[in-house]
Amino acid sequence: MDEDEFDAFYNASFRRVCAQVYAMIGDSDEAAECVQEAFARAWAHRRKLSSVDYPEAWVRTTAYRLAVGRWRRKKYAGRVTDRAVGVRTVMPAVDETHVALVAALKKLPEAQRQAIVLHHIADLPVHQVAAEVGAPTGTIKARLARGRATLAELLADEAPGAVWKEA
Amino acid sequence: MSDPISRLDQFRADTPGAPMKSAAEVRRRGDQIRRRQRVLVTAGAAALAAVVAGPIIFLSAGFGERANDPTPAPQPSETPGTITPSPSGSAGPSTLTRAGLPVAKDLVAPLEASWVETETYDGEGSDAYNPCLTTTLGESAAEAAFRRDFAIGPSLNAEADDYGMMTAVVAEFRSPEAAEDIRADLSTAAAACTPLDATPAGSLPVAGGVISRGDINVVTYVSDEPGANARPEVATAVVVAEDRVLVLTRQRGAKEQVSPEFLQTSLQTSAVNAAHRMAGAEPPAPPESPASSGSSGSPGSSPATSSPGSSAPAAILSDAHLVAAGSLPGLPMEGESSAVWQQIAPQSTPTLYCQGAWLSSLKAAESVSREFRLENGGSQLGKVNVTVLEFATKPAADAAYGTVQGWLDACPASMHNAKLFIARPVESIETGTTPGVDRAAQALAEYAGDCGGEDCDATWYDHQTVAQLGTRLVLVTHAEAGGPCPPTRACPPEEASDYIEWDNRVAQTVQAAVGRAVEDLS
Repeated sequence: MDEDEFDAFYNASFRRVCAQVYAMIGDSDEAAECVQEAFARAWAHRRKLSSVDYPEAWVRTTAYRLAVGRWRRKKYAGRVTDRAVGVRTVMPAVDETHVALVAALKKLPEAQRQAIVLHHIADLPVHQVAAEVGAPTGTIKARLARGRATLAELLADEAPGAVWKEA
Repeated sequence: MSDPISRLDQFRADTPGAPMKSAAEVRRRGDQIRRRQRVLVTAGAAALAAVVAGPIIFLSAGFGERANDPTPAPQPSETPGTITPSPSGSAGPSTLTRAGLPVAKDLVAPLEASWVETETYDGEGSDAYNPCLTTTLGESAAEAAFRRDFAIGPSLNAEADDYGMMTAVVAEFRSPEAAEDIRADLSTAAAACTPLDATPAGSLPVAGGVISRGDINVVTYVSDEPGANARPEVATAVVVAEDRVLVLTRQRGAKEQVSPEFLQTSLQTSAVNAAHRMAGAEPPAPPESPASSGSSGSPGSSPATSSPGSSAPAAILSDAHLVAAGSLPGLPMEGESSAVWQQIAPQSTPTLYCQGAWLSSLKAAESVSREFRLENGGSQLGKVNVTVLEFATKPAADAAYGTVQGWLDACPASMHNAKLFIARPVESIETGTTPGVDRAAQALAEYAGDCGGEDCDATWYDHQTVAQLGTRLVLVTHAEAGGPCPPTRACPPEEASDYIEWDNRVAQTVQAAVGRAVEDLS
């Protein structure tokens, strides 16, 4: 992957992957920083990335792992996380309905949330979701069904205009 | 609109805008990551080569000031067999010859291995045999100097890197006072080891027979080798006998199979033997080739106790004081519950991650230790290290408890090379054993797991415990791997209950290990 190919890949995928990771972790600032770092790692490992079938999936998975790792260190160790990319970026205001959706997603068990985001937001077919998370397709279908049902209940309960707050 | 699918579709269509750095900035960051990885790999390869190939590598790899020392070594043809002339030498001709150098049988090797001579020099050789020393013995006005290098010989149970390499240099000075001055300078330099920015790991005296004065200083330093779990070590024995000085250096790589306690006491015995050889005296007794220590031994013992025929007091501690693998708790996580704890050969990694020095520095009268690992599909999921220490007096045990608690509190982790994420505060705990202990404290340390040099979020979570009952101390580590989440069922863990099973496993290990160690005191 040369510079032009990487730049095209980055420009085409960054916002999409950011939205997906945001939906998975519920923190848009953190999502943007982790995705940025994941792309940097993708460039560092570009030779390996060239042999990957779905580079965007590689970046998404890396960003998600970075985000969960940061969350764990921040939450469990009670300290500020490392900022590998640089100063914290200031994010634009997020649509309130999206905030409520992300808040509802955050209440789902992680496996269901991941399946929902990959299938409905990343628009991956079930078999690709299965490949990305390392689970059988039947398991993914079950997670999707249960996740959608729970999400419907959560969204039905939401107060109009409710704003998500971090737990 | 509460239909989840339409809400999700809408979310995807809107794709909330996130500010982007330019692609060029991201590539620069990627290049930065890549450069760092290259540096690590190169430095790691150099360090490994130095350990395997011998001291000559230190010259080309640039370790310490000595690596740039242009002082040429005397050639054999210039000094056939005996004296290296010194420009400032005022005394008569030296009587030191190559016969003053130790031979392989003088040096103690663990397991079934033995040291073999690899090269002998008239003079100190042209390369730095000890990276901590910044001046040569020739520069210190030695009348004569000789050097012999050793490597570990074939062994059924060991790799060469397990023991590293040994170099002996003997030198003669114009007077015993001059020799003592040099010994003091070399000992100070070995203890500080400024060229490596090293951390002291302990010291031991060397005494007996013809020896006027001597000591061993052990330091460890940060290796650039990616994935190294333990810090490389330089142990330097400097011993004076009359007007002669012995410098015995052992350097070890990052991963070893033999207990540090044994290696330190074996160097002590080797130094005594080598010093007697240097002085032309009979060594106290031929060294044994003892079995691997670490399961038992006396870290603070003198060389005489390593010799056959000495009458040591009956041991209090034995393997019976050590917990068995069957008493350790299994891991309940999905896919891990079938893995079982295995007792392994003693490692030279510290019992506690936060240790500030080898346990021999606590000067216990007796020590026994045991280690366990839990693996699943080639991945290491758990580690348990246990050491039981018996002290001669209660005040000595109290002092050692204070030292260990200080390590847990400050977590110098100077015996470990893995990056510390955080050390949690030390807390007093109950062990639930019979008999009960006088006191016990525990602290959690999180540090980077080894991913073979690759970026990853693997993390070790070490619960380190120290417990005291009378003159006995028990040190226990219960470590589990996590990443990106702690070793809990949920990822990320969202409830306090997620941690309960983990806490129970730690408590079970501590109770089993401490209970077994103090059982005979009830």
